[in-house]
Amino acid sequence: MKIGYVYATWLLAAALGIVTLGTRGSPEASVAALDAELNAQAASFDRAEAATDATYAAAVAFYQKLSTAQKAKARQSWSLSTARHWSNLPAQLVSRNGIAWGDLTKAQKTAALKLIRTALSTKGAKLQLGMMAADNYLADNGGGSSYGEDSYYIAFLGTPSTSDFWVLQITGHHLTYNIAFNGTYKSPTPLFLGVEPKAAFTQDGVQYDPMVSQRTAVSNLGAALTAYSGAKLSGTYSDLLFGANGSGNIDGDCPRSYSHVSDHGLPYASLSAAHQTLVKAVIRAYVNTQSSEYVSDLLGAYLDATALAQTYVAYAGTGTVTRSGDYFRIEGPRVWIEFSVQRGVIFGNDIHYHTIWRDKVGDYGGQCVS
Amino acid sequence: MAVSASADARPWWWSRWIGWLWVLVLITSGAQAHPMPESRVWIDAQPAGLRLTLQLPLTRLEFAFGQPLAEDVPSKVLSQHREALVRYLLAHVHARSAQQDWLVEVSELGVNGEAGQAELEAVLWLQAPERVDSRRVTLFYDVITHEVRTHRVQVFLRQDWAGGQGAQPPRPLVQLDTAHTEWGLDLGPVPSSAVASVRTLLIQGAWHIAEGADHLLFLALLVLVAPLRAVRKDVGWRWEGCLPAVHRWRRMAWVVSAFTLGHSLTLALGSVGVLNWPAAWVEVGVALTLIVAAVHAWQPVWHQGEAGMAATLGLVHGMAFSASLSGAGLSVGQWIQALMAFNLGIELMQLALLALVVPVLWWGCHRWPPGYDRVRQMVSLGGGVMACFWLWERARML
Repeated sequence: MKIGYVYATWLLAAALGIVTLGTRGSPEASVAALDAELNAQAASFDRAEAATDATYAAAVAFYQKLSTAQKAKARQSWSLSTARHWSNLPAQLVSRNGIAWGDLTKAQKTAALKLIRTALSTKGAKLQLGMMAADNYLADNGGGSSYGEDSYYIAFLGTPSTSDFWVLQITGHHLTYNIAFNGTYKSPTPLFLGVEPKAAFTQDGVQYDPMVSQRTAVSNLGAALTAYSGAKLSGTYSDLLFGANGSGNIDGDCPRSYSHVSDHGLPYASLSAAHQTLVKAVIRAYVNTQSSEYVSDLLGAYLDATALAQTYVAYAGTGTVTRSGDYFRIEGPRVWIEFSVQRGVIFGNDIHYHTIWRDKVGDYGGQCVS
Repeated sequence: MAVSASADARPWWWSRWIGWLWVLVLITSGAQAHPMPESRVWIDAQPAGLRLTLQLPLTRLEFAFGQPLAEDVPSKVLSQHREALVRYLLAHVHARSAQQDWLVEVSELGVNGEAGQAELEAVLWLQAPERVDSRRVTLFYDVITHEVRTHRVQVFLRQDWAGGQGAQPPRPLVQLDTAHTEWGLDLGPVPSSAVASVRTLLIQGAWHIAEGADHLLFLALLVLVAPLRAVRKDVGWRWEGCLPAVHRWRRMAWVVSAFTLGHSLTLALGSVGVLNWPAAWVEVGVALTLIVAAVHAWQPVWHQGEAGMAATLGLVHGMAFSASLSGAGLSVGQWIQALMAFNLGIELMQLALLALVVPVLWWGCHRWPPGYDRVRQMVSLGGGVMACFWLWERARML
């Protein structure tokens, strides 16, 4: 009857194993170490190679490094309702698709970063690491276990392919990329960027300021816009109009109700040439986070003369990026960028940013249609 | 001596299990610290009107109110702005039916949460005019949204005791924003039966356990060994032989009552929000209790004080039950009725299932002990595997 003990021990061991299953990855592949790696090879990495093929290869390489259980988490079948399941709240409050950064080993993290860098660009990958470092900073400064790099996720929605539609979704608290391949449109949108702390901070000995280019571009535009009375919106914008504000704090229904927006601000055409450049700089600050293949396609569409003739700029609040309630929007036939300044959550006496870049027709590769 | 041994055994197990439960509390608390960006409005239907509980994030309210509210320590908000906040709310909440305005008053005002995430919680009483159907009304609500273009208000029906929706999870009704500030609420006629909510809850309680395979398996594992005698061998404790009928009855009654006591306690505490554990963790806890029960069915883990174990593990199951029973917004009397009805439903279904299974078990135990032993081992093994599967499935969701 020794089997009774064997059985009891087995059950308990199984229980323990299950509970601890894949909870922690190795600590060596820290964000700081990975960031240094990016800097070291920055020049040689970004090539004008087709992102679709290179990303496919990097995705397969990453996928092969995963265990069977991890693979099942990382790969999900494509559906719009699955894709919409991302948020600007920490993953502890709104769950995410895919496999958590914290569940990856060192080798897996290296492969994951290579995938991210291939799909985006060194700039986009640095942005990602900066956001993860910002979340570590929140965890260490009063945010606790709801925050931190471990709660960023990588998901394949659909099977990676060089010809069939799939989406690489990279999502965590203040960052979501939805990079669609082989869709009707080349698009990384909806793309959510937010950050707290608001600007430069030091985490684990490295200084970061992940959103410096977007913030600076918007700040420059704001300084110019206050001179145009038509650019100011009535009312207060305390957050994004078309952020992840669907039911359950995930992305809302597709497509967003752009036609219900009645207050557009000022036509791009009414700005002086110097100020028009500032608008283009904001668009570039968002689009340039992507691979060169996508950048040239999207900038071509957004900065096309016909598109710009139908583009509007607007702001609410003070026209700076320093006060809670400050808000900016750039809206064209395709591009939709919102930038919201709001009170901090962990640093309640300071501000933090929520921003979104959408493509009215290209969101989720063009699948976000009625 | 035997009496004192069992008296010792029970408190020991209790304290250990309670210790583990505390560990669970510590693990699960502290994870929630992010303000919800939208307003929530909870509607409780009353015979003479509606009670609205508004939860308004201060970081959004301050834009519409026109004065900074989120900068200071939350406790100062009311001491400085109480009167003005009441006036503000009354200017932005209205109700109207049959061309008559309802009376609106602010009955409670409080500020909850830490600095930066604090919310104003306001309870508004909306009184229907005389001889007007209080269940059909047009509501106007633009608190915050009259100013803040990006704000959303989630409206839920929390309680409708007379209408047969009492103590159940809140039902989402509508989402309001700057463009949508008015909607018609129609709660329908009051059902003719005066105890509609009680009846619904009774049936729900019964279904809850009948549909809950995990709760049933737990009960089955406990009942399986209830008629058996725990005997100490040199290899440890073993199940052996059938107890005399009188003892069987007593053990069975003890174990089932203890389980009931345990889950009733946490069901009660959970439904009033005293215990508020994430459902995912409770589900994992339930799977763990199944593993314990499966091991116990294989060989006695508790040769005495089995009732204590049933009660302790019952605590975990009660927390799972409480997810389907919400006491917020009910009067004390209604809540007690709700609790009793839901629990009674659970008990009746338990007893009905026991009445079905127990005679067969006892017949087998008495007439064919070796066969019963084999059946017990099979069920224990199968139950253990099933429990591990559930644990795996649920732990992944954490």
